[in-house]
Amino acid sequence: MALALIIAVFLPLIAAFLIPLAGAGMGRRVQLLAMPFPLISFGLILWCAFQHESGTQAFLEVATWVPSLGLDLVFLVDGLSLFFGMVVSGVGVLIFWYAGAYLDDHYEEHNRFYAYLLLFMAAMLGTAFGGNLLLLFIFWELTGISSFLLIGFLHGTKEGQTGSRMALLTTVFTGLVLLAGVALLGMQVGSWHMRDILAADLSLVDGGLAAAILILFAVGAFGKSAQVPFHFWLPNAMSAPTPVSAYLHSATMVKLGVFLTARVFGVFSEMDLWAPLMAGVGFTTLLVGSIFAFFSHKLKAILAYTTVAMLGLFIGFYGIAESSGARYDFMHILNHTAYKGCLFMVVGIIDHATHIKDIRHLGGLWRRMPLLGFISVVAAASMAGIPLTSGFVSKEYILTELYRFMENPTGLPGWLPLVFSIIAFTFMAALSIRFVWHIFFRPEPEGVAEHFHHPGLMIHLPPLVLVVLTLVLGIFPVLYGPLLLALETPGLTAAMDPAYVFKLWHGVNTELITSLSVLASAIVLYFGANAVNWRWEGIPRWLLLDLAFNKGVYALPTGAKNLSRFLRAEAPLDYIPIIAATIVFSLGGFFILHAEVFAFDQMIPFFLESFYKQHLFIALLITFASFGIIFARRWTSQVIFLSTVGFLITVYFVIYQAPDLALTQILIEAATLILILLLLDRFPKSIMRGERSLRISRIRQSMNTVVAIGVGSVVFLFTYAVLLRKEMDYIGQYFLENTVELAKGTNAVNTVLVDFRGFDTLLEIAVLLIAILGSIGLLMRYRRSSEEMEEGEFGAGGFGIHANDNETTK
Amino acid sequence: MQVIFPLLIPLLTAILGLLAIRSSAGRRLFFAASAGGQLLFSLWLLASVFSSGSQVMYLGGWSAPYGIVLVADPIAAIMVVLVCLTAFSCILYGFQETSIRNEHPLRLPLIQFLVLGLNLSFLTGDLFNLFVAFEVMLLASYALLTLEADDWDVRQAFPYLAINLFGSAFLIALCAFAYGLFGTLNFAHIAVRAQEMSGEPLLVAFGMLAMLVFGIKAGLFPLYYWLPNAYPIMPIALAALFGGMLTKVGVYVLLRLFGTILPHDMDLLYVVLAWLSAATMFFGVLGAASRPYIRGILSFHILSQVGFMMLAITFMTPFAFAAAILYMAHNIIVKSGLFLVGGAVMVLNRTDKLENTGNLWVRTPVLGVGFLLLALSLAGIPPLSGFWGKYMIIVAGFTAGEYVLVAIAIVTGLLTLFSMLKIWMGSFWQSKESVPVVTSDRRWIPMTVIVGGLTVISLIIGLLPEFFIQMAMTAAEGLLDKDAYIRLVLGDLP
Repeated sequence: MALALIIAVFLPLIAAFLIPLAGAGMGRRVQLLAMPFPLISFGLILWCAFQHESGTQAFLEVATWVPSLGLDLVFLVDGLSLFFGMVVSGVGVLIFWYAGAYLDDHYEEHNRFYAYLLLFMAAMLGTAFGGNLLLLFIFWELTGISSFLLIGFLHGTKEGQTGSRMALLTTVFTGLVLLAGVALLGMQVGSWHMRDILAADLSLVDGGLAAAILILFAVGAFGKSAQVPFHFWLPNAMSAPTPVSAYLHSATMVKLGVFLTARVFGVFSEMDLWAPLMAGVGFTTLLVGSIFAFFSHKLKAILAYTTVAMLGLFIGFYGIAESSGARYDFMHILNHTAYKGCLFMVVGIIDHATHIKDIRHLGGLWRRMPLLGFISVVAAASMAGIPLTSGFVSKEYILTELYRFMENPTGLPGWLPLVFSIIAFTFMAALSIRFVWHIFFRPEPEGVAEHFHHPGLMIHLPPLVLVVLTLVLGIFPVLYGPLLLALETPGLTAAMDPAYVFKLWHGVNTELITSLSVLASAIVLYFGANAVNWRWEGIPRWLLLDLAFNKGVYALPTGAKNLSRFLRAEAPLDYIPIIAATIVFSLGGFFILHAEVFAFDQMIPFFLESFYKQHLFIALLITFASFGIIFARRWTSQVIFLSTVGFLITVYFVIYQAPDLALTQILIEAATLILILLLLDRFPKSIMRGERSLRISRIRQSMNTVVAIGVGSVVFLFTYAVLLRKEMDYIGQYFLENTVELAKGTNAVNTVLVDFRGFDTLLEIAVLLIAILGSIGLLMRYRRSSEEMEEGEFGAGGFGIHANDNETTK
Repeated sequence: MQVIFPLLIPLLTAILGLLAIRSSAGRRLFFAASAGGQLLFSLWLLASVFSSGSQVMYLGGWSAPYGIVLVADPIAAIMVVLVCLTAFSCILYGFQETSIRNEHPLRLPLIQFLVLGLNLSFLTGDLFNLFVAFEVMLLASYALLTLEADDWDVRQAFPYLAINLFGSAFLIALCAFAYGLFGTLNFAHIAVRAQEMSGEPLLVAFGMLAMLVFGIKAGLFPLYYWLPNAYPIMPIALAALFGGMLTKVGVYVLLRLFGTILPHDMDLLYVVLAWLSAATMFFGVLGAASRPYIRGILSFHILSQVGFMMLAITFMTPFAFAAAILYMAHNIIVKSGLFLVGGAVMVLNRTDKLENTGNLWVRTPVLGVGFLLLALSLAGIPPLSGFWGKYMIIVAGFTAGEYVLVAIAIVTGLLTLFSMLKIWMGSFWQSKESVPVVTSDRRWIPMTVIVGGLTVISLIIGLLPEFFIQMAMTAAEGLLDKDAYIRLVLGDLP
C-alpha cells in the first residue's frame, strides 16, 4: 500500500516537471499525455481504499526526511484521507478530460497548464495523506503555489494578475498563521507525527495556549476555505480558466479548510472554544455567502459565493458536531462536490459556446443545448435540495443535525445555526431556480445567437458523469451505507450502526416540513426578485472587502515610501547623525543608569594623578585646534586646523617613546595637507567659501551640535571608565619584556608592527594598494564605449536606469 | 596550514593579476581559474574541519594571545565556502554582463581583495586583525562601488563611504576599549577575561557598543540607511556579491561576539537587539515594497533578512544559532541568485524598472522558473531552502516565549512574498506590447545558466535539509561552546 501511495502522490509531481518539456509544441494534445496520471492515481487510491480496514488508521512510514525537526515522510491512511484522495483524483480525471475539450487552440502554453494541474493534484494528494503535521503543511502551501500559477494562467489580463495575487497573499498569510499553529502544537506534543498529534490531550496544555493554537489552526482553515473575513479572494480567483475554477474552487482546494477541520477534529473538538469559533464563523459565512450569491449576476460569481456558503456550512457542521464525532459528513461533502463541480463545468460550456458571462444576458439555451439543460436542471435541483437528487438527502440529514444542536447547544445560541441555514437554503434554492430558468427557459435575448457555436458532445460528458452520480445517489440513498461504513475514521466519525439504512422517505417529520417550506419561500423569493426584474448592480463593493484589499495592495508601496521618508532613510544628510544619535542614546542611557562605574568623586584626583604636564598642554592645544575646524569659515582654513590636530597628536607618540610613529605621522600630515591644499586651489572660487555656503537650518545645526557633543561625551566617559581599571595585566607587557630576546629589536612598537603583528601590517599595506587602485578607478572614469552604447537596437543592456529614471532621493 | 590558503590565494592572485597579466582574455582566464580553485580549496577546508576538527594557525609562530591567530572552526569554514561560491558565480556572471573589451582592468583584482577581506573577517581570531580585515574589505568595496560609476553613481556612493568611515572610527575605538578593558585583543583571551568580568556594567557597555558598531555593517535599524541606495548603482555581478556577502560579515561577527566572546548573560543586549532586529525586518521589507525597480527591491530586502538572522541570535540557544546560520547560508545563495536574475532581466528588457519590463514568462520560461524558485525560497515557502531556517527561527522564538517577535517575523514573511510578487508580476507575467524582449542578445543564456546553478544549490538545501541542519547545528554548538574555543586557541593556558 505504501508503494501505491508513493506512486499516486509523487508520479504526478514528477510528471509536472516533465510535461512542460515533453509536451512542448504539442499544443492541446498535451492533454493526452497528462491524462493517464490522474487515472493512475485514482486507480491506486481506489485500490488502497479496498485494502483499507474500515475504522482504523494506518501510518505508512516511507522515509526519514528531516529527523532533527521531527519531519518524516509518513502517509496516514484512514477514511478521511482516502475520501479526500478519491475526490481529488476522481474529480481530477473528469477535469483533465473536460480541460481537453475546453482549452482549445485559442489558448497557448497547454503544456504549462497541465503541468500546473498535475502539480496541484500531487500537492492535494500529499496534503490528504500527510501523516506528519509538517509534511501536511508543506503540501498545503504547495497547493497554494500551484493554484496561484493556475489562477494566473491568463496572466496577461488584469483580472488574472489581481485575482492570483489576492489568492496567493491571502492563502499564504493564513498559511503562515497555520505554520505558527503547527509549530506550537508540535512543540506541546513533542512530535509532529500525526499519531502523536491525534492522540494529544490538550487539556494538559495551558488553556490560553491551547485556545491560541486552535485559533491559529482555524485561521489557516478559514483562509483556505474562504470563510469570513477571508471570503473575498475566492470570487476574484474566478479569473482562472473554468476547468481550474471547477477543480480548485469548488471541488478540491477550497475544501482543504474543511479537511483540516476534520483532520484536527479529534484534537480540538472537546475545547469550549471549538463550537463558537467553528460554528460561529461557518454559519455566518453560510448566510453571507448565500446572500452574496443571490445578489450576484456573473455566473461564476454566483457559483463562487454558493461555494463559500457551503464551505461555511461544512466547517460549521463540524463545529456543532458532538465531540464524540460527526455524522455523515463525507456524504454532504461528496454531494456538494458532485453538483458544484458540475455547475462550474456547465458555466464553462456556456461561456465557451456564447462568450457570455452574465446571467442577465442569457436565455433560451434549452433549445440550443438540451443535454446541457438537463445536466443543469439536475445539478441545480441538487443545490436547491429537491427530492430525488443527492442534495435533498444531504439537506434532510443536515437539518436533523441542526435540530439536534438546537436542543442541546454548546457554546453558542442553539437557534443560530438553524436559522442561518434556513435563510441560506432559501436564498440558494431561489437562485437555483433563477439559474435554470434564466439561462435555459426564458426567451432568448439578443446577443446570444451572435457568437453561438455548439461546443460538441465531448465536453458534456464529464459533467454528465457527476449528474448521473447525483441522481443515482439521490434515488438510491441506500448506497451511502456501505460507502460511509468503509470510510469510518477513528476520532472523527461518530459510531455508526452497520445495520442503518439510508432512506429517501422518513415519513412526515420536522425536517421534511422545513425542507418544503424552504422551497416554498424560495419560490416566493424568486418571484419577488423577478418582480423587480433582478435590477441591482450586484453587491455593494465595500462589502466584498476585495476592494479594500486591492486598495491596500496599491497603497502599500506608497505608504512604505512615506514611512521610509518619515524614518529619514531617504535623506543622506541625516544618516550619520542618526547613527551617532543611536550610539549616544543607547550608551549614554546605559551610562546614566550605571553612573557608579565612573566614580565621579575620584575623577579630579584621577586626572591630576595620571596627567603629565605636557599632556595637559597638548590636550588644550588639540581642543583649541578642533574648535578651529568647527568655526573656521573657509575650507582651506578648516583643513589647516585639521592638520594641526594631526601634527599635535605626534607629540603623544613622542611622549610614549615611539619616534618612528611620530615621524610617520608628521610625514602623512604634511603630505595630506599639501595635496588637499593643491586640490582645493583648483576648485572654483565660488565653492571656496566652504561649507558656510550650504544653507543648513538652525534646527538641524543645533541637533547636530547636540549629537556631536553627545558622541564626544560618550567616548570620553567610556575611555575614562576603562582607564579607571588599573589592575589589568596587559599583553603589551609581554612585548616590552620580550622584544629584545624574541624579536631582536629594541623598540617594542616597531617589533609589534613588523614582527609580532606583522600580518596586520602586511594587510595595511594591501589597504594602501587598494586605495591607490580605487583612486585610479575614480580618475580614469569609466566611459561606456560607443559600441557598447549602441549595442543592438535598444542600447546597452543592463545599464542606463539612472538619475532620471528612478527617484530614490528627493 | 589549510587555514592560510583562503587568504593567500586571493592576495597573490590580485597582485599577480595586477603585475603580470596584460591581455584581457588572459586576465579573465587567470582570475576565473583562481576563483574556481579557491572554491575547491574552501570545500577542502570545510571537509577537513568537519572531519578532523577545527584548525588553528599562529601567524609568525607567535603563540596566542600575543600574535595573530587564524581559527577555522565550523562556522568560519562554512562562511569561507559561501564567500568563494558567491565570488566564483559573480565573477563568471560578470564576464557575461560586461563584454571583454569594456571590462575595467581593475575590477577583477579588486574583487580578489574584497574576497581577501571577507575571508579574513571569518577566519581571524583577533579583534584588531578583524578591524584590518574590515579595512581591506571596505576599501575594496569603495573602490568597486565607484569603479564603473558615472557622476550620479558617485553621488549615491558618497554616503556609503562616509558612513563606513564613521563606522570604522568607532570600530577602532572599540578595539581600544577592548584592550583597555581586557588587556588583550585575542578573541579567546577576551572571552576568558570577559567571563571573569561577567555582570559588570562596563562589559555590557562594551557589548552594546560592539553590537551597534557591527550593527552598522550588518544593517541593523536604524543604522542601515546607507545600504539601500548604494547597492543598486553597481553592475549586477558586483551588486550580487555585495548583496549576498557584505552584510553577513556583520551578522557573523555578532554571532561570534554573543556566542563565543561575551558571557552568556547579557540579557539587556539580547532584548535590545531582538527589538531592533524586529524593526529591521519590518522596515526593511516595507522599504523593499516601496521600490519600483528590481535592484532597489532586492537591496532593501537584504536588511529585512538580516533582521531575521539577528533575531535568531538573540534567543541564544544552539538551535536558534543553527537557525540563524542555516538562514544566512540560504540567504547568501538565494539573494545573489536573485540579483543575477535581475541582471538577466536587464539584458532582456533593457531596464529593471518594473513599469517597463515584462513578457518574460512567455519568452524565457527557464529564467522564470529560476526566479520563481529563488523568490519563493526567499519568502520561505516550503519545501524550499528559506523555509527551514525561517521555521527554525519561529520554533526558537516560541521556545523563548517571544510571541510578539514571532508574529512580526510572520508578517514580514508575508510582505517578503508581496515584494517578490511585485517583481514576478512586473517582469514575468505582465504582458506589454511595447516592452522588448531582446533574446537576440545572447548574454542572457549563460546568465540563466549561472542563475540555474545557484537555484540548484538552493533546491538541494531545500529538499535535503537534514545534512545542512546538522552542519549548522555543529557550527552553532561550536560558536556557543566558549570553553572549547578557548582551549582550541589558547591551549591549556589559564
